[in-house]
Amino acid sequence: MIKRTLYCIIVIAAVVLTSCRENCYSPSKSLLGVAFVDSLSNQAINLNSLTVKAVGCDSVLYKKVTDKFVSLPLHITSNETDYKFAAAAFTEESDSVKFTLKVYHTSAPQFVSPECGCVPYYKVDSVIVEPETRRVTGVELYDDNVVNAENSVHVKIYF
Amino acid sequence: MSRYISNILLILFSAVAVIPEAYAAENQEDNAAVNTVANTAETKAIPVASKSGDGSDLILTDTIKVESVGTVNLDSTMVINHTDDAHGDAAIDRKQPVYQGTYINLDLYNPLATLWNGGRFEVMVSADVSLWHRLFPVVELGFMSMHPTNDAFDYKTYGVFAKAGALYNFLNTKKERKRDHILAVGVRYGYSNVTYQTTNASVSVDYFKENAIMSSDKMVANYGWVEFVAICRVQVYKDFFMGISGVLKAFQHTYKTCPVYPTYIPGFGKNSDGVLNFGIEYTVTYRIPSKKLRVFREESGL
Repeated sequence: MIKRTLYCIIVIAAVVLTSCRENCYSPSKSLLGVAFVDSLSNQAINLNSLTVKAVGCDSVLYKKVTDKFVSLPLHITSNETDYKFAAAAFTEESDSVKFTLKVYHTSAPQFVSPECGCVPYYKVDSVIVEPETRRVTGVELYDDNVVNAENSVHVKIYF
Repeated sequence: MSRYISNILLILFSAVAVIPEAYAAENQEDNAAVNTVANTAETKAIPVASKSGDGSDLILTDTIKVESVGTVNLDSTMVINHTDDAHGDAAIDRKQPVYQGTYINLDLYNPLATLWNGGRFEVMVSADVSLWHRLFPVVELGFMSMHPTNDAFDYKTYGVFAKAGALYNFLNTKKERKRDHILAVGVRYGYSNVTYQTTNASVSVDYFKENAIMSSDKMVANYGWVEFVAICRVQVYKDFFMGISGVLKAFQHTYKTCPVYPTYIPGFGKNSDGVLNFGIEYTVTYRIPSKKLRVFREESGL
């Protein structure tokens, strides 16, 4: 009798739990990760008072923050996305940091799950940095696949 | 999370239900054999005689009890089992054969799980061979299909998979066993080919205030992985068995991939970097009759 009761409890619990619909726990955005790197030590460095804004967009994505990594959304209706960066100088004697990052990409839909739906997937073809000051020394396309994963580095900008 | 808890509960249910019943059945049959030998009139005392020294007379030297089953032909080829009233066990005077049956397994859990896993239909059939009732090489073939669709997306994916490996049985390996239950663990390698395509996908980027309907081409990818299996299989009636398995799937890797990754991998489950997937299989099994094995078991009195 006890064993039969135990069976019933376990089976009912299993059926109830499996019928619960899962929520969406996956990241729902595909963002381009840009890291700032010191060209001599190859270590990540912070940009102080950093402001980032997309070209042709009024809203500012990052406003006077201090960080060594930023995540940038890309267009889905265009194959090019441009961002303007402005940050404080590293030292009192050096220039402030100003440059434009041009990203050339293609996009496709990525199905995540029935609960989460679809997110854009980007294939980055190339990146170009147009510096307005001398602080930027180079740029590297580290990973050309932009998927819905958080804090992934795709582009490295060297100073 | 709830799906994993429910899988663990189902395994717990089967373990509670199946393993004690298997051991109880074994003990009941052994006890019944002892009682039968001790209490019934089916035992016969057969005189054993040998010739005297000069060969002229037969001298009664001993009597042995013979458990008669049906018609007993007392000829020189009969195997005579010495019965022990205290234990009732019969000693088999020959080795176990290497080959002890081929089992065809059909999974019932995953096709039923289509009702609650978002519409992913998966079916698999496997075959394993019993070697010494210890080692079970196994191969498995399966198919997966899924087509979730609504106003925001239309995703179609399907594919086939194959697995191969071996199981090692810890339970019920005596030559005198009455039933062929097993409790085994093992390792399998899986390989899958999957085709997938997304059409009419509604995608938006809030920062740019953009919305678009996107579609992708049909893509094909190949994946491999490793599985660790624990299985309990019980003989229900003659050549019919039922079993339940818990499977841990890990070390997923790609042979051929596409820029857009498949959401589900046939045989493996949901696809993600570094993911561990847990699966469950509830199988009905048919053992292909083997004349050689049946003769061995009949001669052994099993």
